[in-house]
Amino acid sequence: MTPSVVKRPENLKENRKLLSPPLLEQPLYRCAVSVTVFAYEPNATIDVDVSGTITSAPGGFPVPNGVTIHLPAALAAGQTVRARQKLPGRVSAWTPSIAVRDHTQDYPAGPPRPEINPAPVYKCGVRTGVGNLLPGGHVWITANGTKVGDVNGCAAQQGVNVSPPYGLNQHVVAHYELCNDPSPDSAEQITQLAPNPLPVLTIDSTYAGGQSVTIRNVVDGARVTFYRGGANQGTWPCWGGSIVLNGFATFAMGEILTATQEMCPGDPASNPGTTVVQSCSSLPAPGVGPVQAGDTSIVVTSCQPDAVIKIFVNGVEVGASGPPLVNLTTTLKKGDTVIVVQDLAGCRGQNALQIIVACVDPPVGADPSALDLFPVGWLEYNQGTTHGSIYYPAETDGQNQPFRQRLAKLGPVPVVVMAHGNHDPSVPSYKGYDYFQQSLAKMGLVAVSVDCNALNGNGNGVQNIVDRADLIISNIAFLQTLNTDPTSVLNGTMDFTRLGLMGHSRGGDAVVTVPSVIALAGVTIQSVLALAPTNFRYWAGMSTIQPNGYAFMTILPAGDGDVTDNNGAQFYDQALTVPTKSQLYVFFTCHNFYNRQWLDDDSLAYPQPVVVARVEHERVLAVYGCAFFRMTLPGQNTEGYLSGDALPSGAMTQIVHRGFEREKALTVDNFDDNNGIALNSLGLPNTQTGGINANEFRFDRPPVPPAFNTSFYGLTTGMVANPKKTGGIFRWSLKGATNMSQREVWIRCAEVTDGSTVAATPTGFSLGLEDVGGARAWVDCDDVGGLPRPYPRNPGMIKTMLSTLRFRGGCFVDRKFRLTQVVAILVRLDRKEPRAVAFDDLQVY
Amino acid sequence: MPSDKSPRMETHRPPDWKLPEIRAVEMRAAVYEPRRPRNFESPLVAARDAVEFVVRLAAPLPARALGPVLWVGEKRLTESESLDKEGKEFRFWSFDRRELKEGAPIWLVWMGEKPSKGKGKAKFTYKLAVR
Repeated sequence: MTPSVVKRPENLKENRKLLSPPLLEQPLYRCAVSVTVFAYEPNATIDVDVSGTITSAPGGFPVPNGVTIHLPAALAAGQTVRARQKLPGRVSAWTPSIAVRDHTQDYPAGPPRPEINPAPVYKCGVRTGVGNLLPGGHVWITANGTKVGDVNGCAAQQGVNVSPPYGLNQHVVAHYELCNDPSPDSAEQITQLAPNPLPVLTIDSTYAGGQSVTIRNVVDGARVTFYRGGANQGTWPCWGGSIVLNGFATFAMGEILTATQEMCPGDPASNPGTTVVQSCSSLPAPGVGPVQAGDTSIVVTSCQPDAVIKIFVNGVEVGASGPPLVNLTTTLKKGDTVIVVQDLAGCRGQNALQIIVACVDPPVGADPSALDLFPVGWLEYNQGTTHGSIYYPAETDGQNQPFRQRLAKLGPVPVVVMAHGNHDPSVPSYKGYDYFQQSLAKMGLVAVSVDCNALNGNGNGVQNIVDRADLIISNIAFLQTLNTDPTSVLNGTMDFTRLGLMGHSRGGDAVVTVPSVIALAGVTIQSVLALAPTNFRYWAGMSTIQPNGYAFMTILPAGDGDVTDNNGAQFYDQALTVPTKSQLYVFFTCHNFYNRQWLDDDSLAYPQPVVVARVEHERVLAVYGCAFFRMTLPGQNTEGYLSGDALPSGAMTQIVHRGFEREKALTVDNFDDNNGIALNSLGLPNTQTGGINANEFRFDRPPVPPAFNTSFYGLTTGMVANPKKTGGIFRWSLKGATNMSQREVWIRCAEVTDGSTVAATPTGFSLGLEDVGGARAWVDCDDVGGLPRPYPRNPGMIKTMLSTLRFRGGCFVDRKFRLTQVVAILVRLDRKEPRAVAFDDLQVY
Repeated sequence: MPSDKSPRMETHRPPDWKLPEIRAVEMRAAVYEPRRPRNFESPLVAARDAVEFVVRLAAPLPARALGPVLWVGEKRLTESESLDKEGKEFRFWSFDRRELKEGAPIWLVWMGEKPSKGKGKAKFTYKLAVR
């Protein structure tokens, strides 16, 4: 449900004793000499308990970086750590205990590579931010090889004061170690001249009763001076971007706050940035992340830095702490009313955020493409007809650098081979995925992009796809020779039993072909990503290849102006779920912008919505592609980003509509059994009542009988319910009574378009469960993300494209309904205006 | 600081996928032999009763994901290969000449499209040259 801002209700039941447990930064590793704690109330005392030894420290203010508490002794493996916060008269519960691990369990090739963040760095800079650190370790910075800053016992993102300040054209590198185990050095930054004049700072809205200010537009390494009514409050070094200053006497309405920044002594400071303190009554409601049934905490996305966040569920206070997360004393249920407010030291917030808890509204997780472990080397190969580029984990960044020896000692690494599609052969299309290759290489994979230009512009049809598949296999064979060539930097580094393929456009068609024909010894294809693929076999009247025996993913740009039929949907429909299949239908993206070398915006071939920037296309491929290959090649835990357990950060997830299936599921009905609408895939009866008017139809493009209309672009049979009146119910019988309390119902569905228009208003349905006694409970599709709408492109190409909705068993609640004895699944078309809805692949997980 | 006001820039360039006009079509009976891949057996099969259509275009064929389709009456020919470096001459294949009707109009369109009925009379029609 969309949150709404309301006046703070007067009848909220506050609990003045309540203090939520804080958040302990994880993971915790042996040899760490500090721990960092977040999410506590301003000025709380933080206790850290390391296997019974408690260290206490003042927390100060939790924003922006929590408090890093130095421990009396370095952590040892097997110890447990927990934390709590204390204020006069209030003590929180302890956080759950975290076991201390050895970092080599998670990072067998050594700690990840530090990142100078933000960059670039400037002459006269006095502070540098370093990220991608394992907490509690030792980070230091060198300029031209001389140490200029050092922090032992760092946080994951650490500011390092620099002395003496940087000179011009210095080579700045961050270094890190934990347990005397050094990481690779950071990428080198060369100091530049700061902008002149320095930009004017901006100060976020500040409210009477507050004690903190957030100042933005800070140049990397600048010194920020803050004035209050003209009185100098001090100068702070900043790593650039923004800085939060805390702990002032409470501000009064109308006070004038100003700030300036300066770099080199003698050079002018920036002009002052100014704000006027606003009234307490203007303090806005805080912002929060997604909230769904089963949550036990609330993520705070916006608030004042010195705020105390209070959470009320159905009028009762269940959480109180500082941002960015508030742990609750209860577990949220679908339909609960959550009120979130922020209070400052001298201001009781009058505006509140109200949320009705949804059944499914997944949290935002990490960026799967952000794993940064190693420098990246690259090389070009050119041997006979094989040509391409290879990116790989290396000792240092650059061309032909040695492979990262410490990683190589652990054994060969997975390989991803990419193939572009048909384009002007004078364009080096194979270079267009370098960003994706870089992402994969820095996390420890070898990423190869094959030059297919020899096959561009000179052939069309299945023969051209066969030729591309042949060329890809020849390149894999060549890579195998590199793997056994003692003179190659890649000698012995590649594991071809963990091979992934990515193909774009005709390359997508080809990488679906490769697994069906490849016969190279020692090669096992684990995963295939077809990006905006063609399907020439289908156009030629041949059978579509059925992806089988490997994880399959397809990305379908909804605004594709070239492969307008989004033929990847045919591969998804045909793919066997061994072990998974995944479809991303991505709104506001086109065919070409996933390849950096393809400059034309093909979406402009038709009148349709403007697509998002090229970089957002790249983010979709990098983020979801990395999630896919990390899951299927090194076997990392990133499946949730594809299944919808969590949203990845780093990409515009709001434009991505997911389809996903796993191998292990009970398929109730996929409509492919040729047994008619009255029987499901379990061989049990389906019934329809109330005029729902459902039947099975082919979802093919071009339409084949029995087709509902011309708006389907898949290659399967599904169901369309086309009600004559509202309230009709379709019922699928299950085998026996099923306990659904820990299970989920998944169904692919879409609002049906006529192919030429998108209805002005959305439609929807409710999904129900029926127990052995006939009692029913319902969940509206809007409570799990909503029925996917058609993409409003040019008439004639508007598609009914199905995506997967997930209904959690625990959301089905009704007074007489027994969730442990479910005998049927139901769909009810209950919108006022009866409209057609398409369904497929009803499954229980 | 004064505020600027300017017209919106065209930041994106549309593709030019206009199909060139057909200048000439030669049709002859031929044997189709699929190219042999180096690494596997071709899924395409040889056709003894094939017909090749050599199509000369007024300009090079634009390169894009979709391929050109030669419609011969109701028959759609999707397999083609370039015969020159410029990309102005293509050989299209029909694998079964019995499916082609003498006098059938010949149109060139992109994959997924059908010949527009409003285009008038086709400039070329199917007629197999006698060798």
